[in-house]
Amino acid sequence: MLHIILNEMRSFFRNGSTLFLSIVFPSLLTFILGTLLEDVQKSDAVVGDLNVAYCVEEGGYQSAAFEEYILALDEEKVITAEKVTADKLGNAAENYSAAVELKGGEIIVYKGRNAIQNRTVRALMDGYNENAGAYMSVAAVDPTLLSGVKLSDEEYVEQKDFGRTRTMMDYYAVAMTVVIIFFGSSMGGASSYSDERSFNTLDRLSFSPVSRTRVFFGKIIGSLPVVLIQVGTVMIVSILFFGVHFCDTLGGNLLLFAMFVSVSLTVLAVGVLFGLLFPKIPAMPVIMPIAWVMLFFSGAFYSKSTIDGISEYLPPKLLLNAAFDLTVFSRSEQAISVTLWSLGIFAVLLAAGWACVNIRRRNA
Amino acid sequence: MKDYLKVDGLVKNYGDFCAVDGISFTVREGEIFGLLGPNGAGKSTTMNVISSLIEPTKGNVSIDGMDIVREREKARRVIGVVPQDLALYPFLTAEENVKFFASLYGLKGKALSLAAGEALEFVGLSDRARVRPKKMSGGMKRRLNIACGIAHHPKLIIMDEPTVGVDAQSREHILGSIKTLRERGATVIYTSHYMNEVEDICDRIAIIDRGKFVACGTEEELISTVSDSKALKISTEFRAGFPVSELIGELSRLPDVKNARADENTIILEVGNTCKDFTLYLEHITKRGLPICGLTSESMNLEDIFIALTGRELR
Repeated sequence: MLHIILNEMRSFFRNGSTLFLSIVFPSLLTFILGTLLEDVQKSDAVVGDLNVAYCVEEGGYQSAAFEEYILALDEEKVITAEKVTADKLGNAAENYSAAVELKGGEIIVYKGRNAIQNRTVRALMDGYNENAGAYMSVAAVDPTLLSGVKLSDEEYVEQKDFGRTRTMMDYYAVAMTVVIIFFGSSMGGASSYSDERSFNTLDRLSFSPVSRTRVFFGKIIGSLPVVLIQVGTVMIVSILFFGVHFCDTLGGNLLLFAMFVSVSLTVLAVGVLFGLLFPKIPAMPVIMPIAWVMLFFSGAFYSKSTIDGISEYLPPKLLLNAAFDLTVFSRSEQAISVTLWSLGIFAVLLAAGWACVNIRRRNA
Repeated sequence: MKDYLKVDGLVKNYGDFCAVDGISFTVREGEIFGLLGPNGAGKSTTMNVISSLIEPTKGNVSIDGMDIVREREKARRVIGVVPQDLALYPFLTAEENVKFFASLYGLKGKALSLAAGEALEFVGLSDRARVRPKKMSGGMKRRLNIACGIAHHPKLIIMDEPTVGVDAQSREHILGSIKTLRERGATVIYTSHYMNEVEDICDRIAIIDRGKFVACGTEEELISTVSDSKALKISTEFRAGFPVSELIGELSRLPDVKNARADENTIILEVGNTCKDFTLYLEHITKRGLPICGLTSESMNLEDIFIALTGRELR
């Protein structure tokens, strides 16, 4: 079996496309995303003083609350507010950062003289809408509850110190690792047998005294270094070049790595089993779309691309949640659970593969 | 020579389809045994059962006394398979390919290196040991394919059309190598669509059709199953007024002659297959003052036999 393991590893290191997909592509992806996201949290323009003209519909829905919000911003010197009449709003926009109007319960933002300032005012109005929306939701259920609602963010926001400044890369490094695991491992696993078939070497292996079970296990074990390298590459490149923080402790990082590896093994075994069960179906056009759809609806690419009631059961989502719980909140329960579950599923898949190769031989 | 491979009542069914229908034969130690049959005749299935790739539905196959089902792993150690399709890893060099496949048979260390070196030398690829298959010609790949199947010194070598698509030079090399393997004591089962190859190297030939054996034996034995005579054509020059019919009558009464006739300046004698000495006939003609301008003996070849027995051509 050792020869099969070594041959599997040799095929990985000498196969340009596999090497590209496993090492070069994840590294490139990390560099590209890392470079793009490096400055995402830094301001690249001076906003300047915000002069806002505003107009409130007298006696209208939310009018008092809205004006109070504008004046509070003025008082805090976030903006300089000036109340104008509705007929002057059109001209006002030329002389101010933006002009805002509350009409029929809706906020209308008129473009001002400066696009950045205009966007900033729009963001402030969005903030009001979010807060007001919360109040309205409570009021719609039971207005008496409003007396218990905390009014300022100091009162209702509980701040937690993560111990360090988190960046977008901390999120994307985890998400990228998950993406690489599901794409790379599944494809690597599926190509393990399909390559043998395309080289016509599978029959030659089958003629040999080495049992098919040992060939199957040899292929799985031989793919292990590929998995370790894939996961390791993304993690190391992220840490070394973009200062990504995964976990605070060595134990946490080891658990994270173990979880990634165990899930990779499971995905790899799924790929190998696919190659075994469907030898004539090319893996790439089948596995890639499935992996892509699962990753997309797990929010790996975009956090809001999820479906309630479905996404939370998707394997990538479970892995992402466990990884974030471990890296951000230092909670290891989910990570341990995912690791154990994936190892259990891996064992079941191995047994299925073993049964598959042996039943096939008898039925051949 | 002892029987090295015994196939007894072999049946292989795929659902309702019977691919091999109760064939029995033996292959003697150190002989090259040709297996001929049209596409779909059951040849590959028979080879796959012998090489233990698939299990028979009924019947027994034993190699050197080892049952191919009950003692599969043990039996596999003495088998070497050279598949029809090239079965090589493109990312490994020639030497690494040979070493990998030989290692599956338990060879390691120096013995493995030695065996790989010998196999490459045997197929004439020693100078290409560090070259990957994709940089080799079709003939070289075929030879490497053979090296991978024989490096572990198998006693029984199964070769499935090993010369397909190779140039004449490589074909000669391959056929010469197979004869050398026989001289070294290996038993070879050989299939090919090239009749002349089979005629050239095989000691015995079996013809299989629709899952059954149609005939089995040496080339002469196969010919005798189809026809017991061959045509002897003697070219001469009849003088004007020569009594041709009288001569033909005399010739037809000579030993082994089954029929005689004349066609312009050619005398055609139908003689028994076993007849190899034609001097008696030639002397009889020359005594009558006729010159011998030419002599050809036309017996059936393997292709004729194949068509006669199966009713179809090999391809």
